[in-house]
Amino acid sequence: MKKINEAKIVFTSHLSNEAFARTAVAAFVATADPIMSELAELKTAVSEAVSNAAVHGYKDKIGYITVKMRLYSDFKVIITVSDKGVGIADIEKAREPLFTTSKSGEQAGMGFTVMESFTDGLKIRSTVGKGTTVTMKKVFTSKDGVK
Amino acid sequence: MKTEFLKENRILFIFLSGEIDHASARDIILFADSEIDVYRPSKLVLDFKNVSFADSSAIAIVIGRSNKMKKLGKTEKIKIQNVTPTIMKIFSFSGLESYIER
Ligand SMILES: Nc1ncnc2c1ncn2[C@@H]1O[C@H](COP(=O)(O)OP(=O)(O)O)[C@@H](O)[C@H]1O
Ligand SMILES: [Mg+2]
Repeated sequence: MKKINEAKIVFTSHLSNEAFARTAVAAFVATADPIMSELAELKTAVSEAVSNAAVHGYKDKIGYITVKMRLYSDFKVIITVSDKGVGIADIEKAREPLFTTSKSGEQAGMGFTVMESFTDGLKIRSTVGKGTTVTMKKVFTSKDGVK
Repeated sequence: MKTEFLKENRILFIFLSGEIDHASARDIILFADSEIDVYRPSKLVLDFKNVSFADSSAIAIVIGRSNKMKKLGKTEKIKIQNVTPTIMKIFSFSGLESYIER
């Protein structure tokens, strides 16, 4: 399918940028005119990926997070969120519902479950010590009702 | 965020508002916990009517406050109300449907 638009944003891992990132993605996909629930799902998935990069990837440090957005003519959007943080040793384990390495009581271990359920495809690539890239695909229902 | 306490049946309502994400969760938790400590309710109701966005940090907020209510020895614990369908889905992923007031 034809790529009709592309954008990239880079920002520091301050948690306040979580809202910036999901708002930017929402603005980027506006031309595809997604229905409200699908837009809400995409924003939630982006939020999860960005907070993971900030909270787990960079922990107490501040680093750069990159969000790449690509929009295709068949109402499909591909979002990648990457960090150059600590990386994930066991991706299968990390994807399990309720699994978290955080002890703050503020993490439910449901981030990857949300990303998986709210998108039409989730890929995680990670190297310990190098960083993590999460790729999410979302196919919007077109206004005439076909996926 | 606002709260309302019904003295007769000791129900504490916390009306959450705005966007709930990992950035705002900590303040919400601090606020809710201090209100629970002040009122020592027998039931806690978290209202999502004015919540425009929530991610999985909302799950941690609900589970954490539920545990806090249990620690206080409250049996009726916690309910959530006025959630949007998307936020409802997030709660259902972690089996929190039974907390939802219908
Ligand atoms: N970008 C990342 N960098 C390093 N570790 C990560 C990253 N994303 C996720 N993880 C690991 O995967 C676990 C599960 O993530 P998630 O499902 O979002 O749950 P939570 O964030 O609540 O812990 C995290 O606790 C963390 O150990
Ligand atoms: Mg997470």
